[in-house]
Amino acid sequence: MPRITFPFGPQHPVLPEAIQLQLTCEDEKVVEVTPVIGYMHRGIEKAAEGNPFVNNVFLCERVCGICSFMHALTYCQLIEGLMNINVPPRAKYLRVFWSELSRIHSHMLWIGLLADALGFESLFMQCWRAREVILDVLEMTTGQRVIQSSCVIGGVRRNIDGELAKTVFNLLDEFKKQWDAISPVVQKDYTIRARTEGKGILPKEQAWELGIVGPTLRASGWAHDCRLLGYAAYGELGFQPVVEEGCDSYARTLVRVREVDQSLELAYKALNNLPEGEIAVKVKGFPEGEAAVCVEQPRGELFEYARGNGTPHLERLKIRTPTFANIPALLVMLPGSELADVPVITLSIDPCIACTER
Amino acid sequence: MRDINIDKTELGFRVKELIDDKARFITATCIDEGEFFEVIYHFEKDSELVNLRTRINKEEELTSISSIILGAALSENEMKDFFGIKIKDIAIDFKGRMLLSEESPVTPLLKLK
Repeated sequence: MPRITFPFGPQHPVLPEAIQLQLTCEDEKVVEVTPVIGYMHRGIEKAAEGNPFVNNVFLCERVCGICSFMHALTYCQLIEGLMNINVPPRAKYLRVFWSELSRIHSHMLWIGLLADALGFESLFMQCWRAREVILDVLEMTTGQRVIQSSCVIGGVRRNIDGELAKTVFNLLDEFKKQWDAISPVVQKDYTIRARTEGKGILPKEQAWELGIVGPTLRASGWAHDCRLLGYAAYGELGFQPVVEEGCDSYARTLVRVREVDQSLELAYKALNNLPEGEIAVKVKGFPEGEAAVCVEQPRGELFEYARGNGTPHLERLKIRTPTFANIPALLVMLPGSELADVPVITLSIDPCIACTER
Repeated sequence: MRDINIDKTELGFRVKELIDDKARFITATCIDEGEFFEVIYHFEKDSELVNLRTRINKEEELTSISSIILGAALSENEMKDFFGIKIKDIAIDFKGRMLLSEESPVTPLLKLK
């Protein structure tokens, strides 16, 4: 059988961002894949060296336009670790609240994109409509829909008082009502199952060996989630990772569906149990030494490493985003699949290329 | 955080040892130390961060670990892009142009003398 190699992307209807997959096919079957990135590198690690460390919070937040809050949180935790800063308990709970809202709206965006990739337009619109409620809560509580800028080194910048909390609970109830109607469709719809079940298999052992993270790893049977480390207030709120054993695109969908429920529960819990007290402490001095942290982003583990030298500027800031770790999964998932399944399988790792390239 | 300082010749062996022990590869970080590079391969073992650290002269060459962990290929290409560090036998070698385009500045994270 003759082989043909051709580009899939960087511009493709199913890819919201630019990545190219060089596919080699025998007839309609994919036999080889080479991912090509480099279309949207922004030099964020270089820029971070030139900024005073305090300003990097706002730079890191711009690594991603979806989970921006978690990028800021990770950087803040990194510097807090370097400088031995104790964050007030109230700020830790608020960080969990905003993190979980970020996870919900990221997963809702992804489920919508999956529906769109399958041609299920009404589900796509329902998902994104429900997501708007979460964005409204983010805007109401932080002042911004996308780049919230509510996390700072030493705590958070915004508080949620009793009156605002009541409005937030009403909106979360409204979201839950909409989501409860959407969720069974995503899990049971015949077309969704037909297009995702048994597609893009990532065997359990290979997922671990490749260093895969997040829902992609959990859908291959691993109970791995950085929230188990207990950062922010996760240790007090109690948490068990969502795990599926299917190893296919359907399992990855189910993990995200179940995580929307779990995140909603955590958001309610965090807001219901907000401790009294300050929301931030003052930061004095400059970072010195080395630190590394992991935070569970919607797409998986976000890893950051920093080295400070006692000056306002970091010597090195390294950011490893979850999609960067998950791209090698495509080298296992795609060979052997039908060409028509490539868009959905690629989407199933929830690729965020802006994050990946920084 | 646990640090293991190793010689560059031990890298493949030590990585294999960690992988056989069910450690998970996270990423690799390169730091420009003036005369040499410090390269840190980060792993997770039983929820603990394990850093394999090695120092190499800027002219020296490191052997890729991507034959042991395919997932490390992107991290090693990134170090090549940003620092110009010499790494041989990377499973997929983008030759210093994975994230940087032909028009981009070369080795942007290398410190100026």
